[in-house]
Amino acid sequence: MNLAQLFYWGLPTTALVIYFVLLASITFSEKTKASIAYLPMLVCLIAWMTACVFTQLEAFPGCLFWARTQLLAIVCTLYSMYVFCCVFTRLMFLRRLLYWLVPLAGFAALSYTDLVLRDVRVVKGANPLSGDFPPFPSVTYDLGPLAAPMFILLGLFVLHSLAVMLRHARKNDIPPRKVLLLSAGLFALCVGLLFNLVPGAANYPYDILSGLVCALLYFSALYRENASITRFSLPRSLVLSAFTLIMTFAVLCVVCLIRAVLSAFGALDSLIILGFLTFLLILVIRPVLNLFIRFADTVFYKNELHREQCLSGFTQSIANSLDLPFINRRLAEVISELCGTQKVHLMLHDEKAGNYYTLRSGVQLQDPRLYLKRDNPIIAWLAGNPGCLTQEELARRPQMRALWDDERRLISENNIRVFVPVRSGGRLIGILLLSEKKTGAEYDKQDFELLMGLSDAAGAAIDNARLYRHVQQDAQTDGLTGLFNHRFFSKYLLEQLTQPGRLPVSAIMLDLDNFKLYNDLYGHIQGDIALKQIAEIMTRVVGEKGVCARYGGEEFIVILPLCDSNKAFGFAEDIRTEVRRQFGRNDTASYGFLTVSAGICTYPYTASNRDELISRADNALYYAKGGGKDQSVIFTSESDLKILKVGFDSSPQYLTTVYALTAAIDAKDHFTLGHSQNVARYANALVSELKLAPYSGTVIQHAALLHDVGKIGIPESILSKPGRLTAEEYGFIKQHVEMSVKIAKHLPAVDNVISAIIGHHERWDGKGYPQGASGEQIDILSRCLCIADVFDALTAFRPYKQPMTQEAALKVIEENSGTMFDPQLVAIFIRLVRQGKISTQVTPSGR
Amino acid sequence: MPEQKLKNTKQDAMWDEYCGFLSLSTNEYMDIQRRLLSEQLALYCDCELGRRMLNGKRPASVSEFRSASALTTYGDYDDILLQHVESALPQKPAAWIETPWKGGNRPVKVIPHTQSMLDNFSRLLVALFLNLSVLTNRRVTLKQPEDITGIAPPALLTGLMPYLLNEGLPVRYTCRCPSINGLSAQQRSAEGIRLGMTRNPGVVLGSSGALAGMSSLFWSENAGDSTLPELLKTTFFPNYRFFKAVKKRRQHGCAVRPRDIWQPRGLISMGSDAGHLKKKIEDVWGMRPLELFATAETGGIAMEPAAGDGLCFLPDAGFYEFLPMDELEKSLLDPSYRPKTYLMDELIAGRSYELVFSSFKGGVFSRCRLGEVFRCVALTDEENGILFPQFFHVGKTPDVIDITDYFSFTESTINDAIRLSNLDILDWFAVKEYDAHRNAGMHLYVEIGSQTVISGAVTPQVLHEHLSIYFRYLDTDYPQLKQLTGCDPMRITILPTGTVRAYIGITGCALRRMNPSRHEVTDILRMAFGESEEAL
Repeated sequence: MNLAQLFYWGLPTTALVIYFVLLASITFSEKTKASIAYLPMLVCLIAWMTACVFTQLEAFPGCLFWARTQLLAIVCTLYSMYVFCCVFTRLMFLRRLLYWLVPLAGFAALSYTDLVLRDVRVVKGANPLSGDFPPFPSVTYDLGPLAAPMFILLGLFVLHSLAVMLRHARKNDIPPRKVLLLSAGLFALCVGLLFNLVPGAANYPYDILSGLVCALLYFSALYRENASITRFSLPRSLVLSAFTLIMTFAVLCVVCLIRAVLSAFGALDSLIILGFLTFLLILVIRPVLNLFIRFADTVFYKNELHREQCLSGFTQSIANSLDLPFINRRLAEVISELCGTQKVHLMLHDEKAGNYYTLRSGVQLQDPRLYLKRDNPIIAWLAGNPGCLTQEELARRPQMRALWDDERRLISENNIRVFVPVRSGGRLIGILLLSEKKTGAEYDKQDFELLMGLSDAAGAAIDNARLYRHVQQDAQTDGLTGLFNHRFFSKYLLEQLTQPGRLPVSAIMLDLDNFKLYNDLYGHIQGDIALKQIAEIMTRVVGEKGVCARYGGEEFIVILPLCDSNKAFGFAEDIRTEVRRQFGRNDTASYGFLTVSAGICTYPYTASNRDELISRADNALYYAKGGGKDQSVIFTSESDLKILKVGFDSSPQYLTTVYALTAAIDAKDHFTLGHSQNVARYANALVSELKLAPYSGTVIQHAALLHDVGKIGIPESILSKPGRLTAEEYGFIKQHVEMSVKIAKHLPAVDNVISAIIGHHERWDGKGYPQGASGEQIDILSRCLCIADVFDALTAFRPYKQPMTQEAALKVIEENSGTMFDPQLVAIFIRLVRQGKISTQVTPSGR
Repeated sequence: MPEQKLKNTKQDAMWDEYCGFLSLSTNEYMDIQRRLLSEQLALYCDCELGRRMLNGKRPASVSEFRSASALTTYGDYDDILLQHVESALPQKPAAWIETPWKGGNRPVKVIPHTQSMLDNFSRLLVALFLNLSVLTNRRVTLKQPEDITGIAPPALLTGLMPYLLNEGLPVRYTCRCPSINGLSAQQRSAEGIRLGMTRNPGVVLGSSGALAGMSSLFWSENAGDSTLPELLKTTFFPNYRFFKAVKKRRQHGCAVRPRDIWQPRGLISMGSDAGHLKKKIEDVWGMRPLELFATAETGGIAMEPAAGDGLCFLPDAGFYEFLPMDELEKSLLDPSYRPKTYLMDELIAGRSYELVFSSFKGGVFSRCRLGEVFRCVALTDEENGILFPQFFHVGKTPDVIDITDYFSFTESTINDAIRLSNLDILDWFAVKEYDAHRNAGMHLYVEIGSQTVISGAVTPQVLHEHLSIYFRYLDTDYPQLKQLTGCDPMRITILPTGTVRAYIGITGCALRRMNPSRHEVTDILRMAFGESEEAL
């Protein structure tokens, strides 16, 4: 058989096989509108080819019938192609089909009359062995009068189809890629048909070739749109059974061949040869069978197998892993491989904030803004529904109207197409965000099933890894502040000092000033809140440059690798000023207390080992505290501590200052002249009787002198007003306590008087001001100050009242015992007055 | 690419996308409101306008927002908006929409709209067309490109609407008239009719007053058979369809109605009295209109679904608060009173409320009173699957008497007309009334000075003539009101001198001049004319 014969007979055979394979793949695959529209076209092509072959074979009922059937098949093929294009592109109007249907159907019907085709003659081919040309039958057609109009109409129809497609492509209604394939198929078919009109060429089956090319191009277009059409749903056992049958047939052939060969050589009766050949056959069959199975799997179940292998590999790899980044990376890899996703982001639930944050991955660049707030409707939807959420559903679901514009923009900018819930124990612990596919195709049902399977498999592993990470974090972090604890810090510091390329390493030791006082005044809960705030400030300032740890109590330490003293000083100052800004921004007395002092030391410049680094930073810190607090100090040498920044003058001339301030308030309010001294005297006597700590006398003395210093800020018209104060004026007067505290806290040497001052207008029953503290919540010195203050006010002259006698004043104090005053202190105070240990000295006094 | 989107999207998916909000429960609805308010507050707190309106506060919740911001009106924003100070706004506007400011400090007010707000409006219009498609048994088809012709420029809300519609549906818009600012109301309507005569309109969108009053543009009801159609005299050119309708009218002896000339596939009404005039529009056009509520301040925020009988507010177009009528009246009598407002899930069916609107998506308004009153017709409509409140648009607040969208009587315009006319009117009050054909009008009750009563010629007709002249002087649209609505917009009743004062003396309460309550009017008329049925 020569090449021409091979082409002549082999092409229809090959085409037939390919058509049936295509038909099978469409029939057994998931149906879409386009794939259903492809089927009639395929059937028409098969009919066309069959009619063509039967014409040449002059099969029953005759070549004229088959030739006419061929014409009908051509018309039907062209028409079904147009239908396919309409359905496939979804933009070409089916209504136009009806306009074409009438003339085409007419011509198709006429093709069985003499008007189109009168007769067909088949000339048998010459003997191939003789070498005559052509070696196969040639067909001659006798066309009727309507043949030409029919071909013109078909030509117009094809041109119309091409024009419509190109017009839509130009308007960008259809992707050019789609149009290219469809137009190429149509063009190929037309060329094949035209070849039939060329004398000589008509003897060859160019039309069958063009039909095959067209069918393959259209199938390719269909495949690009929906890859699932090649996924057979035939059971694997059925396919293997079919191969077994083929194998049996092949073995039979081999046996027959061997038998023929052996009989030719007369060795059919030789048992040795027969036994040897049987042994060889048995040896060969098994590998060949395996080869067949692998072939079947490769051809029919390649994707499924690949998926299974990937899934199994993924499950095994993450099963025993507690490394969250590794699980994330594997998940991204497997999704990318199986679905062709460009980018995969894993978001994990943050239990504190309730939001979902993207887990950082070293594999791909991620948008740091990509996170979902806890009230995001996507989260609510994923938590309450079983499946994935697609981008299309974001537009469709009315609940998604609650999405912010920024959130929509972010989803759009990151090309997020699918949200996959990751659950563990029914809780939504994470969300997988998938960007578009590399091919640009849409995610289909099989992808969603796969993604849900992957997320289910990953859910438990992610949850375990998260728990492990939490346990790990808990072991190395401080529970209150969230900073690293002492144990971690020690380990980390050692690593930094021993690791090459991390020097110089600086340590900043930070201590909160007045923290005990803050705790005493506002309670330990407020103190804890302050510690957390300061820890947040430190974390924010230091960021990724170093590590912050809680050293103990109110002491913190910052380790800064690759950082010299000057840079470390910058960090320390940033922390110090931020603390000052944050705690000093409010006008109330409860703020402004907390400041930080910092000591800085750098290895290897001013310390030779780990212990020295810590102790010297600590020394610098002590120097900063002793130097007036609220400052940063760099350790330079044991003997020379360089103070780079001092917050204020730390001169210990505080006593002078106290007296100066007392004089200032006396000068401001003539009626309070001597009041502070009187109160100091009374309070001092009372405190001495109480046998408190040795320094209490000094503290109460200073507190009494300064307790009304805040009146400097009260308008004189209010202080000296002879009549009753209005509510607004009384409000002004009440502010003097906070103002006194504000002034006193700038005297570092006497800042221990603040707790006494701030409570001197508090009442035992909690109805006082500024904090409304009650009972023993009020500092004992404040309670003493309160009694002394009122006693002097009662026995002193006021613009609106005459001074009371000592007894009358004591009576008033006694009446208010248990409501305004501490009853125990009242009893002691009254006893002291009556014993003469406290004697009144009438002075003009203020409010 | 709306055409491509329509091709690629199934009908039910489109319904879900645009009309899916109709299936929200009240809780889901409020969740959307709260979440989008927090988005708006994040934008609003960082701009000059927001800081001013929120007194520098940064509210973190709905309740904090409501306590931080006082109720406002357009006048609170005019210094920034009229100057187009974009730097003071929460977001850069995509369009500035202007609208007449009747009774305001300037002839027009301008309102910035961000792209997101316009997108929302566009979606509302598509939703309305989808409902229209359902209502008309798919005679309004969404798949074919619609040709839209209009006369309003894009600076006006109605002029912008075709462009917005084009974002969601395949429409081809031709604006025939570059500006209609110089045209009177009648000329505008005539221009619209002229356009309608050149082609059969598919969907007609118009103000309810214009749609309902279109019959009177063709034919004056008072005119005899021999009279030429009013419109034909001036702006209208003869048309086959029109003459066919006139012929039919002569055969049946009735007035020409739009339904005799056109057979549109769908009808959308908007504006003042859309609810009141629905029946009349249905009568003259032969089909039920769907109502759209849109103002220049808000954009489109509510629509009437095909299955349902009330306006549904979009959950993502703005934050809605509702001021009950008793609170509204208190605030009208005492401007310093801070009235209480209620949220969508706190309303009571059957009660009327003034809408208080706060913008979303970078808009400018914070708790702005628009002067629009709605009655909550039902809290849910389970039969049609709507689970949040639906509303009937009652009209303007009582301090305004609006006659169609073209003209409004306010206390200041009436005072101006009285002052300019030099009539000896001692006291007056005005009430909005509807006639038997559901046409709105103002009934003005006046008291004349006793000397004038004795010496002058004072009849309601004389007063009517006098005041009409000055209303015409104050607003050029006034002369066309009769033509547009088909009835006289003003009716006058003269009360005996001293009636109002006597009534105030008896009751001890101040009488509101604009739209006093029906009980007050009845009592005053009873005092003035006794129990005469005619007077009442």
